[in-house]
Amino acid sequence: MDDAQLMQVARYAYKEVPFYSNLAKEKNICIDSIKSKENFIVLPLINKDMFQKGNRYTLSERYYSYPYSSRIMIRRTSGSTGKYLKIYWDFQDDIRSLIELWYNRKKYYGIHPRDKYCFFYTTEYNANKLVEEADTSLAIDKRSLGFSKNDLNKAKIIEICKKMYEFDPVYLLVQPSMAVLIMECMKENRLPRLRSLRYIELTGEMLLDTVRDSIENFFNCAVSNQYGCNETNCIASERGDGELYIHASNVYVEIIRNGIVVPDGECGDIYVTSLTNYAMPFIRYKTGDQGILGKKDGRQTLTLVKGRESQFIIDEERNKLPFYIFIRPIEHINEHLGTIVNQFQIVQLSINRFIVRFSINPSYSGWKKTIENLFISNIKQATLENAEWVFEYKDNLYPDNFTGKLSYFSNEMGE
Amino acid sequence: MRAEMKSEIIDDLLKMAVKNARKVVDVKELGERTLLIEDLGYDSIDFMELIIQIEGKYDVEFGGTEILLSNLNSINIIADFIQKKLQERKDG
Repeated sequence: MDDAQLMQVARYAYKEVPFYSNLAKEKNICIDSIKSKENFIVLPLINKDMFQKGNRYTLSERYYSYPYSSRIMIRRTSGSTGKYLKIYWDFQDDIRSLIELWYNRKKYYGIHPRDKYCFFYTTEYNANKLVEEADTSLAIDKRSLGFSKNDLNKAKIIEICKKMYEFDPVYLLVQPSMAVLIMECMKENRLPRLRSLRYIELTGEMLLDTVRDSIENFFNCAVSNQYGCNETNCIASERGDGELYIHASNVYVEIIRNGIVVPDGECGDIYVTSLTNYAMPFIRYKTGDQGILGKKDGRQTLTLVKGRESQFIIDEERNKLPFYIFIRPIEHINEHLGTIVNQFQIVQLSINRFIVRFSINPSYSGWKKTIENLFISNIKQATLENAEWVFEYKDNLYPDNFTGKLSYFSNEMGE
Repeated sequence: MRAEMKSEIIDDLLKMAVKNARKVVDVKELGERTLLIEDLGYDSIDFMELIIQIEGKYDVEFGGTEILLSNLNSINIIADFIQKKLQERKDG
């Protein structure tokens, strides 16, 4: 990564995006005086709360109108922070942000962009609109087959496995918790391994060594970890040696503790600057994870310290369900009523008993009953139909002191 | 000599680039100023195909930090990059 690209995106953001230009006025910053990484650190640190409050002012002004507005794609964050945010990308920037990831897949794992793969999704969007799911599987094109993570149970996982055998993928893009569910299902039912599978890319959750080893041993193929977020796309990926290497063509990463950048080898909060997202620039943006920067063979590495750990919902049939099924109802609420759920957290207290905590936009406080009905009706999980939902409304939901994140699902059954 | 070498590289690159293009284009209408995303409709998969072809043809390697937007989107800049790598190899 050269300084020029970093300076370019920072200058662009502070001149073209009202959220940043207002910050510059407030903090008395002259962006033209920022000419190197050394003085880049005077720019304010940004977090998701600030972005949520910034609303449409976080979007570059040029994307308000045609022709730029027609090039926009929207992603939604729902991640483990439990804070909802719409992320805007220029299609062309999205392409640029993914080149290094494809390069690594090809070079280090022999995965070609045209190889067939399977993935799992929580909610699917078409032309930026939420798609109602009629089926558990969705063939986007001939080279990919996606499976909904909603309404999963043992029978459905067996069905997914059968479809995978028919499709015969070369690789899987999957969260560790989903890989474990597939693996357990295959073991339990003595199903054969996937014949053509050569590679599994794990993403979206903290990857424990034990989980990685068991996935690698069972599927008997290369397994790699990838770290990223919807705001910037891929931040770091592996190159066959178990290290996460920063994608220097896509992001600039800083590790910050108590507001100060710490040197390599020291732990702190991960802040990223996207070098490719010009529609909604993220400059010194807190990911919510913690890590340590290092160097190997002249390249920057990242060790994740506290990330997204997988936890499971236990249903009345004692099935383990991935917590992603709760993302769908939240996305429905925000899609149909406007973005009114700012934060959420769901706690399972016992079989069929859950607490749902919401932090909503105060001007929508009269909509609570509608929000609750939409939430329950969109869970779409037969084995949770008898569940009792207790709703609580808070001004804010705060991160856990230990993990440093607000986990949006927590199982407190002690199982 | 250097100009001739770059011109040959550009010709080769354009032929390779057009093969992966999502838009129907005539290679004769393209030149060193061609932009892969804007003019040829490239996506990240097409970029990958092109990188593989370039690495194979010229026996050069794109390192992580070299896969920058500025290096890849313009035929002219890719040609400069290849020429630089070939020169470095020649100079030993």
